[in-house]
Amino acid sequence: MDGRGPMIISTEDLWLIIIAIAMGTMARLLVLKVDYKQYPSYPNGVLIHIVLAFVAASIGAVAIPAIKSNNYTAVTFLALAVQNFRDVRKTERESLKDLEETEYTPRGNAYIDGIAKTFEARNYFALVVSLASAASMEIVAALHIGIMFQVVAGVIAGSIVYQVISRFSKGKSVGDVAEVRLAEIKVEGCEVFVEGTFVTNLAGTENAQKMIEKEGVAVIIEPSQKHSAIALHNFGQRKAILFEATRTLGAKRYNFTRKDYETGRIIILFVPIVRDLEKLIDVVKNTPLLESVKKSHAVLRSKAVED
Amino acid sequence: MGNERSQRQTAAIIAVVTLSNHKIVSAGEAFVLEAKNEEEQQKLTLEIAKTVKGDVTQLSNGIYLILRS
Repeated sequence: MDGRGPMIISTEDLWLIIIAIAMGTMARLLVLKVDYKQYPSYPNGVLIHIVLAFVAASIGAVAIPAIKSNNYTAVTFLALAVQNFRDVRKTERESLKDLEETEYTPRGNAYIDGIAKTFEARNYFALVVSLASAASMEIVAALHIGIMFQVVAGVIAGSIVYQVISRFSKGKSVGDVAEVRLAEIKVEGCEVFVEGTFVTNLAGTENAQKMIEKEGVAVIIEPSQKHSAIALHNFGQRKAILFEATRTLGAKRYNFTRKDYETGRIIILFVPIVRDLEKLIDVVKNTPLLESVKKSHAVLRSKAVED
Repeated sequence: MGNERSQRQTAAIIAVVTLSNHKIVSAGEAFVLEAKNEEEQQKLTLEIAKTVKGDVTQLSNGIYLILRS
């Protein structure tokens, strides 16, 4: 058994498990963003995700030593982990749906689906990174190279796999496919226009007219390419943008999104609690392009040519 | 047209505030109120809108509608 007893864990295996768990958990921590979206910014949310990452990394870390000790049933642990992560997605989805009625504007099902999928995928980060880390350490150990080199190999392999996966799973944001700028609001009687485009006629009272004119903010999102409008015009995508904007600045009253079919522009208008225009532009630009609305322009084009 | 039905943020007409010169044929389930003059019409509209937390729109003939989504 190369000095490794079947009953008592060897120092090499212990190092392997510790390093692999550490790499896997760290990979999850690095993608646990507390950014403009402020999610999950609350302490309990962060704790839940760290603990889940630790569990995922542990499964990945012990898989290699388990297989090495002829315990092939260890592979079933991976299947168990996948099932567990699916539950994470389901729980996340249910939890976000429960919160829908308490938000300034709803996230919408498309955005919730995207967030839940991301949380599931990020647990796989921890699992795959720890698995790669453990495998590389095992390969180095098989070459009878010292423990320090095994640790270094584990860290390097884990880092490389993390880089590859995080680059692969990184999505685009609204700012990547469109120009975002502030726009002027014009109130004419009970009708509200943003740069000549009709938005609503619900400003029937003087209070509403004053509030929208003085305190309202409007943003125009212009797709940089014509096909980008397909994703931006999507109802779920517009809801997600409005949600991020109102969540960051608050919403005193009124919120509208409008599509301008002629120009392909999207208009977002609302009355915020905090009037921070710079932040508004940033948050709209950084709203993720939802996975469910993304279309491959190249595929669409080739299909059209074939037809 | 897209999936407009599921995407539309529908609003129901809660109340209609009219003047004596307006003719209302049928108001459905909406509550219809007739004001003495324009000043009272605006006042009543605002009061109802505040009560039901609704939005207000004015038609070109001067009738106020109070809507709630």
